[in-house]
Amino acid sequence: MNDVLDLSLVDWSRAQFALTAMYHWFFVPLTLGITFIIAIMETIYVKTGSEAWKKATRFWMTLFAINFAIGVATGIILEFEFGTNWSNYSWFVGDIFGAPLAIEGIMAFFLETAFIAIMFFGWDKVGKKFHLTATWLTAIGTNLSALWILVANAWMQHPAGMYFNPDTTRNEMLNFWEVFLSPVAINKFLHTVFSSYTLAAIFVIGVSAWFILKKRNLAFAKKSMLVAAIFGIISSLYMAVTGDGSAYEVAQKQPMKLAAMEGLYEGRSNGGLTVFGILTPGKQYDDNKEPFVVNLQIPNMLSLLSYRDAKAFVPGIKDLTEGNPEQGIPATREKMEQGKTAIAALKSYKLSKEAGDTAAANESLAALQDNFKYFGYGYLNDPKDNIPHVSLVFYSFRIMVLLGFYFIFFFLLIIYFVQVKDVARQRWLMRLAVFSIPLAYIASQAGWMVAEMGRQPWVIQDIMPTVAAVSHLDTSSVQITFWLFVILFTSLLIAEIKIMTRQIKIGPKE
Amino acid sequence: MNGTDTYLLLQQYWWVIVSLLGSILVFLMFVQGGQTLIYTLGKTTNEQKMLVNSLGRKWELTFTTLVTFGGAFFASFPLFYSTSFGGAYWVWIAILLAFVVQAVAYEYRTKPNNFFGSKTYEAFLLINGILGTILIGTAVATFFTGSEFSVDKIRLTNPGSPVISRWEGPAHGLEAALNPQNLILGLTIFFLARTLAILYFMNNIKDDQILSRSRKHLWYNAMPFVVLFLTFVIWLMLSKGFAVDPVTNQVFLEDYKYFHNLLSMPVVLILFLAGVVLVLTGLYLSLLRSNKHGRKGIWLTGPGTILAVLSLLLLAGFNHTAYYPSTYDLQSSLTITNSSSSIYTLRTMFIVSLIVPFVAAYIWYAWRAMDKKPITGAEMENDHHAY
Amino acid sequence: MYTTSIIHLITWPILVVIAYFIIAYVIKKYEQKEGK
Repeated sequence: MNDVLDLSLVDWSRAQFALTAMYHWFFVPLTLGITFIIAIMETIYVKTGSEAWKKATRFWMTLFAINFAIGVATGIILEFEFGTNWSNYSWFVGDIFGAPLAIEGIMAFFLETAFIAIMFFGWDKVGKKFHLTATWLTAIGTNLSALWILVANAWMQHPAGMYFNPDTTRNEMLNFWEVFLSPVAINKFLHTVFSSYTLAAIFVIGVSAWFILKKRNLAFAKKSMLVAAIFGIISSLYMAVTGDGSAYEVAQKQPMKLAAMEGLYEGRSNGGLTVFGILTPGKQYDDNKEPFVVNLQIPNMLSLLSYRDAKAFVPGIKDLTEGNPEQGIPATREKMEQGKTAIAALKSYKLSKEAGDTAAANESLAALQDNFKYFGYGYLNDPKDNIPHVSLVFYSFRIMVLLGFYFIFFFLLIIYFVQVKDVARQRWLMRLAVFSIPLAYIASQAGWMVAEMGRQPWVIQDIMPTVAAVSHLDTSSVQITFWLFVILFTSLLIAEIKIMTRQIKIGPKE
Repeated sequence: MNGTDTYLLLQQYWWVIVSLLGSILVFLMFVQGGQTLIYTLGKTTNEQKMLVNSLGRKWELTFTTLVTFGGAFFASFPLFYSTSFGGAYWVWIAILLAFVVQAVAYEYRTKPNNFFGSKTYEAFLLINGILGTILIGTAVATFFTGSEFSVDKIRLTNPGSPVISRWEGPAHGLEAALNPQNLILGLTIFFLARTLAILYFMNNIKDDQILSRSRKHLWYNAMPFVVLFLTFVIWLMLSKGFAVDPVTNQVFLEDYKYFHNLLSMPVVLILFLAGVVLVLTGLYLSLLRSNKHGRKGIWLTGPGTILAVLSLLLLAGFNHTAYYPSTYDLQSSLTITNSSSSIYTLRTMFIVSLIVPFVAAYIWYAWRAMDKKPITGAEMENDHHAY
Repeated sequence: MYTTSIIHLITWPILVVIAYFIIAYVIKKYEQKEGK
């Protein structure tokens, strides 16, 4: 392999991580939410002694088990993929990043593993209360797992609580609480789990609606639907609240991502929020085309949401790339200069130290510290590299938010019709419910698109771009594993869907 | 105690934890071993069902231990994680794929509308059993035999090619299988896993047919295991090892290094001997005693395995030894002092590790709740969540 | 110093518990009505 890093190696590595992450994320949200729905149903069973609730619990648990297995299968890859395909990243930030992953294993994985066996197989082996406890602990375990991995991801978006150690040539943790309790992390965790609960609720409602459409198990279906709808309305409302919180964090800490989310090229004060927009197709950063073909905005809303101040200046892609001295925004080129200075300073620091030249070493160290803030920019070749894929991020964001609001409205509809009317007669609503299942999955993936595509080219915001983060491999190796995963995961997905739909058809066991 | 002493203590602590997790993983790979024996020990569908379900209650524990082992290794020795996983790419990908297919196999094997058919999933279990054990064993053997890689942190300052660690062979890890010493450990783990599985089945399942077949196959697997294990250990004791000069931190080859380690660390020697004695005693009980004690072999061989593997891994990293040696460039070799996380991270993780006894306690509690009674044929018929 | 974050984090278990109580109550009312 020649000495210059092959860009296609980076692209294939990114593609592989995106593929494996998206496949994993296909299954995780349902697990996170349905475990709580099941726990709630089982609590009602234990409290009332009603066999109908036991039956309901066991049915949803069967579906959960099918989903959980493939969630595990797609998850193990990710744990090791940081090492296999992103080894330079693992070295550069592993001192901070490794800890949440290890804690996830110790604290969360073992909790779910230990009690899931009881949950599935212990119905006749342990008492009712112990079994119920096992179900709740499994639910808590899965969610704690989400907590730690999201703490890790949040740290990528907004690195905090660390410093760069030039002697060990890596970032090192300074303050664990800053990492764990970072507002970005907490907001991200809450938004992610509550959106997962929303998906799980829609899934339960959709499957229940199918039973109603087939005129089967009506009592079971209506009750499950009601449980899920209440769980869903609480979750989706809080999802919206935390979504706002997340966007606020993004505005503060990842302004380029926000600009891409809004398709905002020219920054402005009193910025309007695009409620409905169509981007000019094929628009490139440096052509002079209008960014939007259609742009319906609520005035002042963007500034308000981003900075809690209608008059606040919201930087656009142009401001962040070419700089805006008035607003104190440096140009990307300036940052790249500083980054290159920092990288060169690190090199001369290490060489001077080795040679025993203390004076030169100290000089280099000072230069490194002065410029470290933009260290990652030194690896970029072109200021335009700092711009994420605008249309992908923009549309994903719209889809996610639009669907999010639809889900809130949808839950209210279900709650109303189950309680006030006879929901079994509202076949239009039942069909809508079934149709809403794929919508939930689309919204769920769209959210991650925003989060991860929006942060490109950064694997650690401003500190390390993806080009510097990969493992030293042949592009062909990554291509091979990419396609291996495509084949394997797609096959497993097909198998899972077939098994799942059959179990649904079989329905609750007598 | 000054900062450096604390740091060294923490590094040693974490090497012990990583080694302990590794040794527990090897013990729990009785699941993998058992997966290769389903058709050997079970001749009727119901017998096979009992065997599958006996494993099915435990497979996740092994899986989770593997994942936690990886996570803990990453958190405490990130340079190992990045060098080994990013370098020996194909070995780790193969191991991962072998475990990915296991994760769905139990749940999907006998479900209706089974797109791939139960035979596919049984093949998955077989693949996981064979590849999982042999590859992990082969990978761990490279702790003693070395691999071809180089680490140079200054590479980070070259934007054109900033990756600090490079694997220096084109096979990216697969070449380990060509070294007979590595393969021997791989095969040792394979036969050990099967041996432990048989002992586990003898204890966990109440069925005369399975029991008598188990005794027979215990001979067929325990003997190769013992022979291979002895071969590996003797070879290891006679090998050159990768020693580190504590003053200059230079890595050099030393004759009989691992043997010297064993003698210099009497605690490890005792652990090792205790482990071997327990393993052999457990085997003796189950091979030669037909009374109820004959079914308890796992209680001795299991812990014995943990002690023996633990001591071998301690031999790899303690007493100024490079636990991940590079045969390409000796000075790129990884030691517990040059590849660990910062003192802050190790200390933070140390505090987290204090919950581990609590974790072990509830795992034990849950395990006992499920295994109060052994698996029987009748249970298979009545349990509708049975795999 | 981290009070906001901790309070924020605690909303998670609190909301789940609240969800259970609301659901249990609504279901009780619903089953009473259906039972009629």
